[in-house]
Amino acid sequence: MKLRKITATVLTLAMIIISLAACGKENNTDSKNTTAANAGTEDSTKDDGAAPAATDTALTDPFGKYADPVTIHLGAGLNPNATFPEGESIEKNDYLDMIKDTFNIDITYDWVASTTDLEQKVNMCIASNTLPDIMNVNATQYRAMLKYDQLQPITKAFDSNASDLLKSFVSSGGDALKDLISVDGEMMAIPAPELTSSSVNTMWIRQDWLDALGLEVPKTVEDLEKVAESFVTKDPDGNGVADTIGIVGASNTGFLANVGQNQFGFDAIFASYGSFPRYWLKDGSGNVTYGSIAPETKEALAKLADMYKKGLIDPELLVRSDSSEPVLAGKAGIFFGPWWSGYTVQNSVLENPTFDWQAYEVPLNSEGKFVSGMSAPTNQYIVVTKNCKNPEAAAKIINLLLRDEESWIASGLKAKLNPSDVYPLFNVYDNANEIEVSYDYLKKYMNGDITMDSVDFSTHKLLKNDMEVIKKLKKEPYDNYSIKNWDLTKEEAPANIGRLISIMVGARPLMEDGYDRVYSLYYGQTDTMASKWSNLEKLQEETFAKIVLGQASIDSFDTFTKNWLAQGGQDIINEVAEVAK
Amino acid sequence: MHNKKFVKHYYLMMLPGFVWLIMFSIVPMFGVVMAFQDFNPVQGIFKSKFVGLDNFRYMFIMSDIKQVFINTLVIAIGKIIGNLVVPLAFALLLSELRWKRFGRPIQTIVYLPYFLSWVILGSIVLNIFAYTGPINEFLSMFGLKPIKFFGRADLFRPLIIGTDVWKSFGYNAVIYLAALLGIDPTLHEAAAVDGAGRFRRLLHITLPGIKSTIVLLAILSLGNILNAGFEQIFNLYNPVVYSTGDIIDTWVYRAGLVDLQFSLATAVGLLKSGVSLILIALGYWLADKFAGYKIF
Repeated sequence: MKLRKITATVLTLAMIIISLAACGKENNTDSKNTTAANAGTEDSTKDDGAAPAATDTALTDPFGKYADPVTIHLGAGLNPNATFPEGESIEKNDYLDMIKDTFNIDITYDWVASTTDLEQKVNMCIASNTLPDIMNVNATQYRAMLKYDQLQPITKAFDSNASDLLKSFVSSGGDALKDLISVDGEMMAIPAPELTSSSVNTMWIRQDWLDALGLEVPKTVEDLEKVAESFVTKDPDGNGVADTIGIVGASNTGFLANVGQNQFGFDAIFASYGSFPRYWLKDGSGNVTYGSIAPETKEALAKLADMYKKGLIDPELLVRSDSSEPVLAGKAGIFFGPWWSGYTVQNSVLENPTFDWQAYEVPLNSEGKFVSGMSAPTNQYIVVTKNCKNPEAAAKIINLLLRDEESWIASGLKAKLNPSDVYPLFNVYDNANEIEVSYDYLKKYMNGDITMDSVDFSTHKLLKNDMEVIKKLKKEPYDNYSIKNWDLTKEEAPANIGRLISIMVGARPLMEDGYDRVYSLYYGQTDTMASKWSNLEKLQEETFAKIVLGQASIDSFDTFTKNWLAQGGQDIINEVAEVAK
Repeated sequence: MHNKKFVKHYYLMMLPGFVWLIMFSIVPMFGVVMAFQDFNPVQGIFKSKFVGLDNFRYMFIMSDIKQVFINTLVIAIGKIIGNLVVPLAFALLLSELRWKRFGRPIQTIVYLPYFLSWVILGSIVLNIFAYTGPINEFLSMFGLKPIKFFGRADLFRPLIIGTDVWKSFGYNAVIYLAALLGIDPTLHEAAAVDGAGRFRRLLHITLPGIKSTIVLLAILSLGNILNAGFEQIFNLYNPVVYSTGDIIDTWVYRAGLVDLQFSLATAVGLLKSGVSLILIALGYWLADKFAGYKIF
């Protein structure tokens, strides 16, 4: 009895201690956070006090250093596959040291989330109003934060602190970009301009399969069907088993069609019918309409349903959890994607140099032209929240990345620890036409029309490296970019081949063949959209998916159009017509 | 044994559980006020604009909300029934095994999937049921055409219920096995002497012996009547199966955390809780009436 009593008491005590310890831990972190927050305020108050002394350099010079240390709170998305050199972490690495040395800015991470959960984490921060000082957000989040009045204007901070390079990138997006980041003439975000070329989803095809079967590159949708059929039935990989897929499409989290870049979507096929789902357009009589409910979309869906039924499209369309899987495994012959799909295929190409992925502008429309919908001028916004005392730090941190990223490649730092994994507020900041320009220079360089000395690299931070590396990796003939004409065994190949394929193969058709552009009348969000959009989106996704997968007849498109308009779509069309007038 | 001092320890042992309950279940209840507001995180739940029942009104004019509730109910009830019957049958079969040494390994093996998260099981299940996966390979041996399992709305509910039962029946069977051990073996021996066969003994001794366990598990599972399993469905669904597979929780996730419509998502969540409360109360009353079983 006594023994039992003692045991019980000990166990109980142990449990209480454990639970208290757990609570205590929580409290500790809490109090640590509060202290950190207080420290932040203290720091900044100190700053304010010391401000007069520091004003001349820190607040006006893009690379000016604060006299007293400034703490900036951030949240981070960390790629779970990122590897760190010994002794380094996301909270302690060379990049943070450089920021500290250059600006006297201490970066403190309030939280670190996996990149796959980042969007959700940021949404949670917005919902609970526990915001870091500076954040990297998407369009939906940016609009929500504006609506909730969580942001501070950064016009002055940007004007006096952004480097000329950063300013030139932002102005490269033109008025359309300026409108997106401005409210009542005040600048509310630093955008990473969307590369123009990223909007164009071209057809990527296995050239070696085409050659093995003696086929021509398809041009129209009909040609595409024939090629896809041969890919499915004629054993293009020659392994004697019917295990090849014609066209790979979207995964279960992807979209059949979307605005702008949409790897594994069928946007190009829709566009060849003059259909632009998710775009706001003017119809024949000049009225505003929505691309998803246009009659052309019905035609395109009917064709896709037919192709799916005939087995030309991956039977696991919209069911797969990862569409790149069959592509990398060499089981698929065709997919659609933007120029950067070269990065997607790079590892599989390095392992299997016979996988000759080439990009073409296919399918063409009835007039023989390739048309592409164009995305919003930006989808990435750096915003400064209300509680941030040093809004100019946002521009400063980006200045350093833009100025020095190229030297990090040269010094080997980038290969050791990629800035895209750990650099604070990382985005791909570039001129909107960077890819086109790079293609142009590289092509002329390989043709011997220009030398490296004649190029001004000041606004093209990666071009110098591209030019140096392409000389080493590219084999003759210099005007043929088939994968077999690259030397993939060189030590530079793994780090650079993805980018070079992306530019020289992925962007080639855009530059050589040209394309027609269709812009949406409106890229923002109207009042009614805020409450009714998710419902309408669901309606569209479900209808499109069911039609293509043969679960619903093509006539259900008419019911969808009617429901879409009735459940708020018409109101939204009216609002967009008002704004886009 | 029953001195008061000792009882105190039990209360102390309950303390951590109570703290947890208050922190994570009671305190957040104040957040339901969001359902009646146009919630703005900067103003918080105390200062956001009060809009009365607007969110609920909007919810009911949405075309899909009825479907979402039906999906949730059908899938959840299917899971409740499956998770009562299958483990029971399995436990009975296992206890009737003649070769007892065989029982343990089987029990351990079927217990395994219970410990895997749906994030992992999701991709395993998608691969097993893939167009070129093992199930379709098997079907093709009999000359059957491959089936696009997760691309068909009509197959989604059975697949969800089936895979959920597969994941958890090993775990649930343990409770039944424990109850079976509690049956006095002399009853079985006496019945056998009186000439009762295996089936009669099962019907008249085993089942009545574990009746209270079955009812208890049934009542406890009623608490999940509107929990159709967010994690599982979120990892397996796609737009094609929205009509049979979109449940309240996935809907709330998309509205609240993807589209940032906090108030609407809260309103739907609150309605879900309201309906659950009624159904649980009803289930409890029924259990008392027909099985004479009370928890409180």
